[in-house]
Amino acid sequence: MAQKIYKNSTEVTNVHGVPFYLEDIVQACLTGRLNLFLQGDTGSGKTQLARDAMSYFGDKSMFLLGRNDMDTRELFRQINLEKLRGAKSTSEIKEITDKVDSHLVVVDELPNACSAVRAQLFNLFDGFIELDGKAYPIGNGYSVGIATGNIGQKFTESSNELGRALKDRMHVIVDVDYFSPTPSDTLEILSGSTNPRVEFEFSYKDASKGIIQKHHEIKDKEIPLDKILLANYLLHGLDYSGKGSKRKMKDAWPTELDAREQVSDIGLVLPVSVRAAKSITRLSQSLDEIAKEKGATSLDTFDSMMAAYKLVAAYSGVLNEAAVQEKYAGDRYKAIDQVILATKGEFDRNSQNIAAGLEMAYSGKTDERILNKFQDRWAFMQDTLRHLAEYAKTQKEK
Amino acid sequence: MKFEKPTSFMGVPIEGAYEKAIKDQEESARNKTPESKPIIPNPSNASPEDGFVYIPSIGLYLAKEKTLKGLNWEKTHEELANQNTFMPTISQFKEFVKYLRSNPSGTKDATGQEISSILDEILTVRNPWRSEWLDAKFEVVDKTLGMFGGKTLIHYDHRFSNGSLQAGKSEPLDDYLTSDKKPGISLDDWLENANKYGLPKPDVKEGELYYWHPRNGTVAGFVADSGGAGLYCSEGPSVRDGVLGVRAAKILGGNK
Repeated sequence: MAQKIYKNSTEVTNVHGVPFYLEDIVQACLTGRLNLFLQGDTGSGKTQLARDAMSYFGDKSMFLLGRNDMDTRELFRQINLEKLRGAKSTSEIKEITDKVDSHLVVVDELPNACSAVRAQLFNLFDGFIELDGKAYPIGNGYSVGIATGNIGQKFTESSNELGRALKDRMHVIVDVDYFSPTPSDTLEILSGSTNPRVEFEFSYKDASKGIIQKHHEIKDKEIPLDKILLANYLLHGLDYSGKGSKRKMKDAWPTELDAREQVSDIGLVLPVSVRAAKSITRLSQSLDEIAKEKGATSLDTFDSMMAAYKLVAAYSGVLNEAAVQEKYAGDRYKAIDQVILATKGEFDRNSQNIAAGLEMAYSGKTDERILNKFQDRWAFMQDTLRHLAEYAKTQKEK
Repeated sequence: MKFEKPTSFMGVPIEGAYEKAIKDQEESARNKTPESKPIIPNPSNASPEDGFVYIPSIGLYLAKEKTLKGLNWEKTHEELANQNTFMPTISQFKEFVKYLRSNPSGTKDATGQEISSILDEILTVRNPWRSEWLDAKFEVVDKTLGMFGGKTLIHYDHRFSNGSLQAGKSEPLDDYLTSDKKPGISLDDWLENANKYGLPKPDVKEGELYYWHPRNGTVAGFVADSGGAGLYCSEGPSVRDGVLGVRAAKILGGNK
């Protein structure tokens, strides 16, 4: 069993009536194989949290400290790949990289690393090493990364190179400063040890098999249609504005929106990307599994999808920064809560129509009377239902 | 890709949902008048106690419920005139809100519960989007034209007669806030210290109420949704929406 030192009983989210803490979110990312960035002030415990995660993987994890004077050569030396320098052929390189069996790569203070090193680190998270434009897999089929850093509030801005890289490669970004340990946690932390350093002295009992097995179960599990529809809403429904697609508006969003839309969720948030939609769905599946392990008996799709959306989207650059500062005092999680509230209202009002649409589509029909019920932000359901009707027809023919 | 047919969607059973939706739609179509006019109560025939609240400070009755949803600003005026009622001005609407807020336990026409529900509809920051028309149209006069050149005029007290809408009064605006506040202005300060047209003064206190200042050709309304609630003086008069209606006003006994 992994040894945990990090202590924090502040609730990050609640799924199916089960409270989730930061360590549960880390676990959900590991079983979902989602790269996690822990943003936070110095001394907030993010490194300890990441170190605790390493204990799940015994000696099949690696810890790297981001430094601005580290080059890729030193990085390879640190991960025992210095032999790569002498490798002459592709098969030789593959033989060397195959031996890298680390499943978890933890990079502390990632923003300190220069961009070339950072790019290789992101590759390690995704399970490969890139040499001369060719990707060589590592980690024996399962690898994931956790990075930490404190890069302020503006790091998800598109103009910022680091911000773009983080958005591209880290699936979940959590600001641990929002979930500080409770006074009773710190009471225990302080009474237990006054060592201010990160504890590295943990037992190496390898639990990686269990994590990887759980990951495969989650990956192979069928995704309920409700979740796919919710993800499609986050992709397409949130793209709607009276002026057309928000994506197509580019920099004209949100200033060119109708004033009424500027103060609604239409002016507050952009749609998620396809990659983010996948991350949300996967994280939601992981959260469901953990909730079940913790005793949840009934699973509410909307609940876990929105909890995942909050964790993936808050720092992904989809929010209207000016509105977040002006209306939510810079609190992105509060802003996302508002979007979730609006989304809940939308689904409550349209669930009857969606149910009717699904029954229609699964009988292989496309009835305009039903399809026309989906307008504006729900217009994407017309195409979705047509596609499902086609699918149902093909299934019947089989 | 496999799409397993669900048995329900967010608690709504799939089986029978299609048939029910079609049945409901046909039922709703049957209940509509041939002209598809919105069904509204006829306030002129109703007794003051029926669906209206009397506002002593302005001597007017204002409807508890919004009606005539889905019509643009001008058409709303026309329909109201057909009902011997009219659209409240910003100032009258402001007095209505002020009166209800100062009588939370009820008035002779409305119970405390009704007042709470009316104020919730108007002011609460929540979904869905709600909005109601107010009687004010703005016009920025060309700088080169006469004594009002460069000024913003407010046209109000509109009457619909002989097939056209005419403003009863047109006056140059002054002593009002000329910039948007998103948010916001203080609701209390607006209710207490607005100018004679019901617009916030330039020194209005800060608060949570949104405010969009008048622009050339725009009309007024009051809006609320999950993002905020506020006085919207920037609406296009041609806008129509299923949730955009009007709170009919009337003087006891007939026309204004």
